[in-house]
Amino acid sequence: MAWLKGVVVRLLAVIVAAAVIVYFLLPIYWLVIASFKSPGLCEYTSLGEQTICTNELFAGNPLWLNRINPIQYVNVLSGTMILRWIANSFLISGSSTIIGVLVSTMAGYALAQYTFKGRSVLVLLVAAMFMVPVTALAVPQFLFLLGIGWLGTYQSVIVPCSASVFGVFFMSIYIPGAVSPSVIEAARLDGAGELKIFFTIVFRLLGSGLITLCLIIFIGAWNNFLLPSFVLTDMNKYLVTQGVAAYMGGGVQNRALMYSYFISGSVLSIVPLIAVFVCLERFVEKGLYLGAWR
Amino acid sequence: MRRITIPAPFLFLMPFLVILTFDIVIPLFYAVYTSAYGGTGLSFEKYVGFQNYAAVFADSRFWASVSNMLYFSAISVPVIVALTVGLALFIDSKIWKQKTILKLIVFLPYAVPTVISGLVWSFMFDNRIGPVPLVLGIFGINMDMLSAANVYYAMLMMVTWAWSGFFLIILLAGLRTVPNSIYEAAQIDGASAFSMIVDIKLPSIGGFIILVLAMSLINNLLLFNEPYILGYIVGLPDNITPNIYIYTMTYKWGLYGLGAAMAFIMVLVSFALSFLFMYFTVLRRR
Repeated sequence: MAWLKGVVVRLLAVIVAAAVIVYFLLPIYWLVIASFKSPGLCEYTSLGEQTICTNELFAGNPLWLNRINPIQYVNVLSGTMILRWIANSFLISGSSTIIGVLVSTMAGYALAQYTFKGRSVLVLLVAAMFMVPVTALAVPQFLFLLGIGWLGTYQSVIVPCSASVFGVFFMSIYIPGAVSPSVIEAARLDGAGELKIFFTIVFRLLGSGLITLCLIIFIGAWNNFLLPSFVLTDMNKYLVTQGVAAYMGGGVQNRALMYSYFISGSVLSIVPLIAVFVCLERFVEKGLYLGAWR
Repeated sequence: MRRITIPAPFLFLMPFLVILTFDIVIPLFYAVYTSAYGGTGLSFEKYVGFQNYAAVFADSRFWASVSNMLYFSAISVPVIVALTVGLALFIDSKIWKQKTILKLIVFLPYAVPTVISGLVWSFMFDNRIGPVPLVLGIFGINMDMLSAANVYYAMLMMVTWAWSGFFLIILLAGLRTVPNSIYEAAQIDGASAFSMIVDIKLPSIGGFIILVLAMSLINNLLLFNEPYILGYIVGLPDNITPNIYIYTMTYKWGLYGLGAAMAFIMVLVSFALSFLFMYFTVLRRR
């Protein structure tokens, strides 16, 4: 009966994998499909209850696309500043990533490479802050930024997004595995200074770890919503997450336009990130494997 | 003239310490300072001492928001831990071959901002345009995910979707730390696949499982984006989560002192939780 057991196991595996794939891909699949449907206009009865919707988005099969209709993209590109918001997000996430990766790699290197007074205190501090989500700190940061008059500036989001405690922790574990002490010793014997060793030798040996950290900080900044919605109130300066959510509270009378903004706006806001992510995912996995803390 | 040399470790730490001070230390002190004043806006005229904290501790709506999220965590943490541990064991096992694509698919939502995924899932639940009612209907379930009664399940779907990938990769990394020789030895001893999982794999990734558990718990306690989006669509009370309540107090009503007091309490709670976890799993074993 061994073959029967094999068949059953195989069948169960396929069912599990199929369920997983459906759950994790369906929202993205649905979003892309829906973004190419005409949202048309819904008519309301006098009671405001029953809706008669003569359009593809509402009337059609939610899982199928009969023909590609780019009207939603036309709406969102002409009716909102979505491209500007995406550019803003790139600016903020990119700046945070450059600062954050540099700063936390240096700090992680210090924790990994040297023994000094106060090191254990710092490790404890990093450990305590490591899992505190950005949403916890948003209000204190907002009040402080308001106090120093930084509201409405890009740096009021860039600076908070570039403090990656996770990055310091990750690098302090990743570096000892990726850079062998003998390389650093040899460079020291050759008379290279500590900074030179770090920037010319260590930094180049961090491959997957650096890519992992870049992606984590970049996505974290791109994902940030609470702090930007406190500090960036000028629509010109919105991040794309704010921009897509901006019409939640109303403000758009035309429902067809509103659905366009939400649905195709969402697609436009995730496409750049997903593209980068799919290209770099294997490095992230490798980076996290190598950094697996024991 | 003598050159002043800064010791190397501090040279490397300095930029981080500066940013840390600016981003976390000063804002927290500033929050404590703000919380000692009453009234609206950032006016430091009416000194009230600890009255704001007394008001927070007496505010049943604030504690309701905390207990809402504890209730939600009691559902969502076990679900996400069981799902990701199960998936990690599944991908690590020999019964499924196409590992790379499955990992990529589960990890993909990590790249979707939670504001967007909250919005997309809300549409997915909508019975006019979304497929979820259709899919549930196939199984004979007639359940409106967008009713106030089911809002925790809606959030569960969103949070699990967004975070599983990251947790899965952490757990898979943990499974990689088990040396192959242990599996080989177990195989020679004739251990069954089940006993390999229970006796070798699970104990060896215990620390990672607790890491996932702690991260998911803290994230849930401080949930904001998903309930914020759902609030607009379903109409949720403004104390559905502590962060939503703090946001309402601070941003909508301008009660900065009170909001700062609440935010400070929540920061302390999450500091304490993550510190406890790190202390008992990672640091103590070093």
